[in-house]
Amino acid sequence: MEFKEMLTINVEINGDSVADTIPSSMLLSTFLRENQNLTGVHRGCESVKCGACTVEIDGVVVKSCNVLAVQADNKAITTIEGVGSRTELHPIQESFWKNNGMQCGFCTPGFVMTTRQLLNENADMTQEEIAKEISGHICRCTGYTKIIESIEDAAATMEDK
Amino acid sequence: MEFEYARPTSVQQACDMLEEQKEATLLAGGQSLLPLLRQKAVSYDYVIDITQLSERKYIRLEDDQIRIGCLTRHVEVVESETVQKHCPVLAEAVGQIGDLQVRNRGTICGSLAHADPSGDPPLIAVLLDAEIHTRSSDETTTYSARSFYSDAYSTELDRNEIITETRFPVLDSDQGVAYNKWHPSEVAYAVASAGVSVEIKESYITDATIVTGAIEPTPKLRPSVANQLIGVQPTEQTLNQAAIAVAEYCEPVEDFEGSKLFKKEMIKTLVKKSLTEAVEKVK
Repeated sequence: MEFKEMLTINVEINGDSVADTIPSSMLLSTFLRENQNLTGVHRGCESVKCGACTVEIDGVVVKSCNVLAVQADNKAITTIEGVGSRTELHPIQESFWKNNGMQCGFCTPGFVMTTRQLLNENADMTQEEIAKEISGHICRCTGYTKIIESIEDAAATMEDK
Repeated sequence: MEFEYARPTSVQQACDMLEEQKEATLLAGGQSLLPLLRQKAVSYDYVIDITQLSERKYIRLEDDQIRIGCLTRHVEVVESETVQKHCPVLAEAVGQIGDLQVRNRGTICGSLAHADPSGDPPLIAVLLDAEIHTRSSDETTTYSARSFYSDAYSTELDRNEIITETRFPVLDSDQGVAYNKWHPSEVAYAVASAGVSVEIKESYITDATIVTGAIEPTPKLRPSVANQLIGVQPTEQTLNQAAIAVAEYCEPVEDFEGSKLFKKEMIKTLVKKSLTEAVEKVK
């Protein structure tokens, strides 16, 4: 076993298999934005607070500014680009749009990614529970009320389907 | 942030790499290490990623102890039925770490080794006297959590040691344990925290442990106050007296988050709250 400066990783990103040779110390957020051109991964605070860079690795959300790209080797990543499409929004995106769950939109990709995991696990949450679960995200526009309402509405819509 | 990286597949291999390259650091969940590396608060030329040691990801009940492997993530502790049933305070405390994304990624043993003065797992480990099991190339060691923390971000671990497992005790039926902290915002680190364990038989306290955290460089036992509770009936007055005494004896470090007086007041409140909840849990 040797230490390496560069490593070749194989990842599945939004359903596509990708192989790339990258520096060992490259952050996952850098890899996704700069090497894969997935600029929906937003870089905000760069210090694990704001949640704008949130992506999913093997079904759970993480802050991609705080994970090494090499640690995603052989794993499946979903970014906001893999959620919904330009012509058909995902029900969560639809709900954020309908309920004014965003203003400038910078934080939105992160919120949508976390909402996906939350609603996969438990669609029946109180406003207080939602507020606690999204504490890893910062929004400087909405005051969160509209975001929480969007998540509630998305939960109701998705349960109906 | 630049380093060379290796990803061993067995504990032995990881130990051998640490032995050979003593300037290396271990990376598990990375939720504390990566921010430090990025801020250049620490710097390492070599990083050993131990996340491939998949046999180290478990929570097992054995001999009245909950054994947690070193790659078990916070979320797995929070959701574990074994932990919820046999040591609920551990699940509650770990559920308060950071946020959802951090708990999805961070590991409890990593948090114990990181030894942040405000960390939740170190305080719970000290409160319950958890056993911390480690390995190096040629030996295994067991530490008591109560003698593990030497200073802020410092433990008894040698550079070539890896925590392989931590064992938390199964709580007794007449034991109540509670943990509370104050943090300025949901995801901020605690400014003051307190954990309490009491055993009550026939309405008298037969054993008590009080630990304070975040106000001093390490979690701290308060044996003199806790011992005074033994043989006493838990009442509003006796619990209040204990909380006031802890606040009196503690020596908080003053910083931008609070004056000495403020932290003493917070400790008093948190100890009282934890004592009350712990007593309530026994009933």
